[in-house]
Amino acid sequence: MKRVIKNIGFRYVIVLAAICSILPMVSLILKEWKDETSLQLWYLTLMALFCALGEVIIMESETRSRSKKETLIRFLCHYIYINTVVIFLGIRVGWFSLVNYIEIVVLAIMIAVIYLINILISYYKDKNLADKMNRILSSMEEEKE
Amino acid sequence: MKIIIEEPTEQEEDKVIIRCRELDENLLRLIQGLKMNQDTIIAHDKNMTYMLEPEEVFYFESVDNRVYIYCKNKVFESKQKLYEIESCFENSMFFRASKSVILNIKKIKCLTPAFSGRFEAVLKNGEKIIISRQYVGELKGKLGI
Repeated sequence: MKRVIKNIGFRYVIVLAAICSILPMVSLILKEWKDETSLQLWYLTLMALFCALGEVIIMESETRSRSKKETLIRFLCHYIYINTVVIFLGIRVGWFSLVNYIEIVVLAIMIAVIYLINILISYYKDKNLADKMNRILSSMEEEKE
Repeated sequence: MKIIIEEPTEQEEDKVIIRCRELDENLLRLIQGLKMNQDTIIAHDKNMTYMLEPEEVFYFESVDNRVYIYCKNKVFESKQKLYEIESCFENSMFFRASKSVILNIKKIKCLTPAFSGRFEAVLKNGEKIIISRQYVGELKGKLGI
């Protein structure tokens, strides 16, 4: 339970920072920023909290190991969950409207791009480490022979 | 239970003699502990007991409070707990791959990234084991990275 709370808290801080950086830019590009600043900030905080709760979807299980396929499916579910939270709250606050669906598509694409960049960087880093470890394993095998 | 320690004569080798009316669980575990320190593993299969060399073991896995020993083509059961096995093989090529698995590095054919900082170890018998993110550091240490 402690681990879950710690991960959610960490994720909440990261997401809040990301949302505070990205959403004002989106609003400036697509339409003018509204005057209800304090209400916007509350919604931002709520959005960050709900996004952070999505951490339980992708968090590593303590009891069993997940396969690559299951991890990818969980990433996809997490992406759908994040989009749902952001779009729902965005419509509620008035950042987007269902009539102007282009805004929603742009947002979904931006979130997908962030996801992809994150996954690719992480994969590239791990691939390099895996190659290094495989070289050592090969040399161990050669020494044994 | 009485414990008596005697000094042998110069010609005699060190030996442990267990005198008991019945070999119960505690005594079996004691014997296994002594045998583990001599680099052999006591394994059970149905009503048979086997002595395995560490080189034969691919990995140990804990499932439903039981520890299983996976060799190339066969699976045995161990009476020891996973943490006891881990401490016995602390300075060997066995390492903790996840909460329930202790893996033999010498049986790893190759490593591939498995997202979220985890790695998938493909073993020489074709099996795949996921190495959790928190234990990758231990693997790196064993490989000298």
